[in-house]
Amino acid sequence: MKSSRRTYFKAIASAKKSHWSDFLSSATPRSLWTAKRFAFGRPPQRFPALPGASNPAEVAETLLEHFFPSKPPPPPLLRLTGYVDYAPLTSEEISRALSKSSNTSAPGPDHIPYSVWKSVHHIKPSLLPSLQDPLLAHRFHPPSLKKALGIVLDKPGKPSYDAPSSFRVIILLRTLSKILERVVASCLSAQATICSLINPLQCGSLPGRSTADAALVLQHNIESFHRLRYKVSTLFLDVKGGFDNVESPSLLSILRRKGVSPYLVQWIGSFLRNRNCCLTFQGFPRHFAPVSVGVPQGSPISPLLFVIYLSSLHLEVPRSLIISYVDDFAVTVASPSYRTNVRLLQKSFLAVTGAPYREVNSKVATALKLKVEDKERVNNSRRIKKVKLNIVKLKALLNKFSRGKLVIEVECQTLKLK
Amino acid sequence: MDHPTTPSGSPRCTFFAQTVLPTAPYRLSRFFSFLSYPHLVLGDFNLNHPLADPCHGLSEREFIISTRYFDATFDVRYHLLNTPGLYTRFPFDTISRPGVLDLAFANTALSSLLSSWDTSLPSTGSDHVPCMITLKPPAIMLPPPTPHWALLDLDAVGKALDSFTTLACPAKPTSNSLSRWFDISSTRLTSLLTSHAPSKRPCPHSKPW
Repeated sequence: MKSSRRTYFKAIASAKKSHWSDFLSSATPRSLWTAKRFAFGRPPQRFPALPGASNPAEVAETLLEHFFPSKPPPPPLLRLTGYVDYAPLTSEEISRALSKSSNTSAPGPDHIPYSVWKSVHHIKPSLLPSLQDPLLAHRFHPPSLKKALGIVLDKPGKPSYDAPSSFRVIILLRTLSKILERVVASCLSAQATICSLINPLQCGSLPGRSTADAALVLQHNIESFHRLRYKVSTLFLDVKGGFDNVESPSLLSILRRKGVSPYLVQWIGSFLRNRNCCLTFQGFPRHFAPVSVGVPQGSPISPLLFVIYLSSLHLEVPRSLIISYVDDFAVTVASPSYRTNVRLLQKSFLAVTGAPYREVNSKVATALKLKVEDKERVNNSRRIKKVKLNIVKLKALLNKFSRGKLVIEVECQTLKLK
Repeated sequence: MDHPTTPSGSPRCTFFAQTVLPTAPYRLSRFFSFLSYPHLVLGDFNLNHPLADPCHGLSEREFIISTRYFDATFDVRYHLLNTPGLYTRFPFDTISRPGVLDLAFANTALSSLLSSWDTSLPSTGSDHVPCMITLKPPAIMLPPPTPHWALLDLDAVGKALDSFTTLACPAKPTSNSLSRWFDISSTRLTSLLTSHAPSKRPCPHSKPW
């Protein structure tokens, strides 16, 4: 009896082991995550235990204040009027927008994924345009489409979880809204080229451009300058908290000034106005609170609006080149000496941010200078063969923009020649 | 019999029939451990401890065993629910004295849901009196079941959409009227779709709603 029981349990254990081995041996990139979940289990969800917030409603309020700080109100909504020269929304535009949407994308408050809308559009192609065309024609985005779910996730590896900064929020929007936003994004993208809304050296958020383009342009410029026997230095800037800090009045003013179609500008104004969010975490209160966002995260049009907003940072500074990928900027300067490069970078920094480099953080400037001198010494020793980026991370939270009030985090990076 | 430390999102009841009181730490961890979900451990523990029955005189051995037990529960943030000194066992013989042997422990996640513990129910004929634990309804409402879109009946949806028409948009709309028109139209459409999709179950093996 005992031996047969032992055999029985051994057979079960052996079957489990062989099944697990089979599963791992035939694992696909997608099933790897399933294997990880089986092996390590799901990490427990951390509840935001914030000091001074004793119940979920107060926790939600504190998180909302942290993630969506108050901003100046957008301009008031004008009277709705239809545009005469407005081209109606077609089912082909909806098809194109749906074809770019992933079925696995997490849906918003209505829990309807893209796959359902794809099926609906396939069955009756006239339905979605008839529902969304009046909104675009009257350049209006209804409040029900501006409600979003904010999933509060803890950032891994934090020493404590008693501050809002230990969490991040992933915004989920209604897929029906995102279809319309994608249609508008493609219209705006087409106008961006005509109206020169985006600098040619901005390599993000536009179809056909990527990080590879940014890297190639940077490499090309560095090598061109090297042929002229110039020393090259690059300063990398990163816009911190980009989307949330866009001021919608300034953005709308840029769009108007650049000659974007008035109906698009009005629709974008309506889209950015009066947004609501419901933060979801363990024990969260189920109500939508008004939030002041710059451009909403998770929207297909937001990256495009953001790069348009930042287009004014591509300034014409003598002997310098500014390349960017969405919120990452690289200011490259070239001159016969690194010492001059430092001065040029300081000038460029002043032009871009409106704040003198030395005033921002004198230690950063000194460190950069020392590093540069060191490179010159290495250069003189003629041991230099290959261009390589040496990232000297000098963290410094810098000044605010005069216009956009964006905080810039600077990392000084110098080219090291080995 | 499920292990109580297995994380689970659904309510679970676990019964243990222990003839010998477990006092070793590894055995105690079967009952008491750090859990993120509400957990209640109750039963006839046959333990006397000053926290449960302050008037009871204890032998040294009884005190050592019960203290080890109580310390283990407090280490993992369990709270004793019993009102100290309120007896739960009245022996039929006249030699033994009444005692507080039926103990109830709740973890931190459950503490906020507890309303009361008392022995006001009538006797059942046993020497143990029934203990009543009242829980408050949780303030957190469970989300309603969501549609299982992968099982959407597309044939039925196709037939329903054939006869579906969007309401006419107001000729000169205001923001309110346009918003109302869109909400009504989109709700009609989403209701139609939802009615043709079964609700998701908590797990694939659950019964349909």
